[in-house]
Amino acid sequence: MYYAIRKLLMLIPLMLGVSFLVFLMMRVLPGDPAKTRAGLHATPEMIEKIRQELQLDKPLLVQYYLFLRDAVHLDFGRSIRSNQPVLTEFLIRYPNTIMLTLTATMLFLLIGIPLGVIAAVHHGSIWDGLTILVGLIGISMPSFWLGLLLIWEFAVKLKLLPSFGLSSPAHMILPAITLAAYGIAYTARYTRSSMLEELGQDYITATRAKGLSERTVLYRHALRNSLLPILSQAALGFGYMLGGSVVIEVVFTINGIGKLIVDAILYRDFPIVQAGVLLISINFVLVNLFADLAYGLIDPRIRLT
Amino acid sequence: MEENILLTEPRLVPPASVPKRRASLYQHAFRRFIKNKIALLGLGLVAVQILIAIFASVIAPYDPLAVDMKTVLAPPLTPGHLLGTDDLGRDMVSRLAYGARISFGVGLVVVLIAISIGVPLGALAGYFQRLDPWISFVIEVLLAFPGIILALAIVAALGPGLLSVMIAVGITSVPMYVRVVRGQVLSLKQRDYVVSARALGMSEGGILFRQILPNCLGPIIVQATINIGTSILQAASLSFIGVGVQPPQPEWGAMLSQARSYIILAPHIVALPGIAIMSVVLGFNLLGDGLRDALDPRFIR
Repeated sequence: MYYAIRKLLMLIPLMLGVSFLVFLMMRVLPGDPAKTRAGLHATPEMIEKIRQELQLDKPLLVQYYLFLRDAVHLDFGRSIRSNQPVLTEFLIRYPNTIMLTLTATMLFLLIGIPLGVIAAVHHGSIWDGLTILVGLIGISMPSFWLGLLLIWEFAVKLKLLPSFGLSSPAHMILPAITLAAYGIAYTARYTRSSMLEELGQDYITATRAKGLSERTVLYRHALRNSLLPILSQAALGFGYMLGGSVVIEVVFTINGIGKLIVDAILYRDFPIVQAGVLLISINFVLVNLFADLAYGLIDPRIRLT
Repeated sequence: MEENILLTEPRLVPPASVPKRRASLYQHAFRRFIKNKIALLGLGLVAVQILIAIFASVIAPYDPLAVDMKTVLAPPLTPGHLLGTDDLGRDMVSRLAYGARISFGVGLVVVLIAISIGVPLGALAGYFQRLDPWISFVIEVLLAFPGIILALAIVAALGPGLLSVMIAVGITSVPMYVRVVRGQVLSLKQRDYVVSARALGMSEGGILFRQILPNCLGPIIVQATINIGTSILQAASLSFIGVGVQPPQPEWGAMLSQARSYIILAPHIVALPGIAIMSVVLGFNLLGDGLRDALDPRFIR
């Protein structure tokens, strides 16, 4: 319990830090937001008026407090481009991004972990070699390029699968595989090396000496212990998918929050960028928190430290 | 014939069995490295690409920006254009070679930025207990932005362009150096040689920077090698989505972004930049893995 409370309390300074950094980047660096909002032909008086409306004449920390107060009330202002509330723009697109990210996360766990286990159990075999090769290629290949190749093969040449949008489950296949590819490769490599490390421990020799079957040794003991670090890697992997979905949404023209942010950057629509970066980070921090808490539940050693 | 140890007189170990000078960690590492064929393959991939980047102006038969509307989307092996031309008739060999220059420039600058911020921070956090919570907090905040999002936010603030990409990916890479160096310093500062340096009256700064940090070099080298690869990948992603290096610059990611509309007419202009990115990143990954195995033989792969 103590462990869980401490983890929850640590969330507060972390979120303050994250929001301050986002605030700083979006409010201070990109020049004068009042001028941006007023447009090209604004008179100095108009700019001054907008500056007061946006409360940009106040000290920095007061501005941050106001930003934070609005953010807590889920008020992120209005998009410069569409003049819609920023939150509405996000809520429309959020399901697409989350569906894509969750599908990819499931894919990389369901494929990556077994690949790594098989490779470690048959250490030095052809399967091991293949996993190493697939793993290396997977972490070296640009995801957007893989996406383009899959579009070319399955959408253009074979005409089997749709290549843009997210209007049916079939639309999900190519983007999810593309997004998951790096995760599959990374998880396979990670699972393999943590399994091998576990198999080298003394207690494994002891369980073998005890006469337990190889199956029990591998799956009851070695895999169980090496799954713990893999679990927290999975949470990080989810975050990676969340970030990576930005690129994938651009490749497959999916109307998600990643594409919204990229378009907003090109349009200099800072309220959207600011809220988007903040929301994605909060999402990621919360997933990590759940993984930490789950970790604490499964492994009593963690709770005691 | 075996001697009975109990009956013979005790004698010193024959000097011949002791090497004259103990080989250093790095000599051992070098020997392990050159036996590792996969690591050498990585080194080869990287070396070839570095040579292409350095001699881009010699290799490129044309100006990488020169438009030639008479030979648009020529396939590979067209006379005069070994790898064909793109949608504006620009020579692919020339563009890919100059692209190597941009990518290595990005990789190098990113690593320099990340090391010059990350290594001192990690060293201070590992050595001075009072600074540790503050530095670790900053790092945790940076790590709360998943994947490419932090880089995206920085590019948004600075505006698209090559320099923004370098700074963005550089800052994104800082946390891994802080973590590696902090961990290393934490374990090294308990060693006997550090205790004796302190007993001899060496200053804390001297101990940290002259005694401890040189011993962190191995993990930093491994990290930097892999980091060059990942930052080339990230920079290409940023350019692909349009917020990084801008066309007409022959950056590989930007080239792919342009080429995607011509995937049916000219698949080669989609395939080639991707192969270029992948071979460089693969090279650095293999090299990094090889260096880690060589420098830390306990690590299991």
